[in-house]
Amino acid sequence: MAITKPKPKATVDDFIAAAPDAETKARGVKKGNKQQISLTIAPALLVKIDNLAAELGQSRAAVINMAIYRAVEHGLLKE
Amino acid sequence: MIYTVGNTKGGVGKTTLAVNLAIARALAGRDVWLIDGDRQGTAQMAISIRADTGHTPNIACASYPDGVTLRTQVKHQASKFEDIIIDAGGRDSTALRAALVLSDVLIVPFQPRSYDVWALNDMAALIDEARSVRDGLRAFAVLNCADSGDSSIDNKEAAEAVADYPQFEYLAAPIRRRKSFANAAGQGLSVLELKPTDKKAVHELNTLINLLF
Repeated sequence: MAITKPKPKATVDDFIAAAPDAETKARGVKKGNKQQISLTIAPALLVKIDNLAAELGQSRAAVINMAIYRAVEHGLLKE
Repeated sequence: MIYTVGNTKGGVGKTTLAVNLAIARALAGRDVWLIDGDRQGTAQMAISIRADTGHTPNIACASYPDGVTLRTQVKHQASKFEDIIIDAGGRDSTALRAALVLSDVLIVPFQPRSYDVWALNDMAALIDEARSVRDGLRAFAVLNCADSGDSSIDNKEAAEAVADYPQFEYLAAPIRRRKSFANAAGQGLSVLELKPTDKKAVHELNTLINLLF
């Protein structure tokens, strides 16, 4: 039987991508056009968010996103 | 055949040598493709100056500072050329690594200076890595910008230092530090074309070419 060479551990692509100027892969998990992050939150605040979400008929994530959007676009401290 | 003139260290005369080799091969009637794998684009600039001044033969030249693009393009187009000369490096880069994967022959120019000799260590490590993913890469170390005179101690010691790196074969065809190389390269010319002729430079380049090709 012919002897099969072991496959090299590193591939040519790995070798090239190991150069310092190679583009680094984006970290984290992509979900469609969005990126998944992990967020810890005070339970009391979470209850308030969920209540607001129920009131608006939105999801929790949508309310958090809207709040962040407002903060980023219009300033965090503005009334 | 695919030749790469490369070194992770900058300022060793890679581009000057690559441009000279490419033009010399074209003058010898070969179909040559010069690839500039350096972001600075010096080889590309030299060849465009050559084209602007109407010097023939024309040299096909492409610039691929990105290793993945370089690899893809060379694979697609390699069969259209007889000699492909890749100028890559100055630092460890995707282009240099891609060139190491593609090339039949690697030419590593180095000056007879301590820093250059130390840098051979980095290059040797990269060659080892390249050889772990491919077979048949020949690597030659060539003295560039060597001191004048056959009795130069620095040239001799630098050449001997190559023996410490079994990754390289030392090619006994030193190119010495001559203004004609730089002047020619600046005009997109090889020393073979420069007027008035620098006979010593021409002899050195031809000696190297006879050993390489």
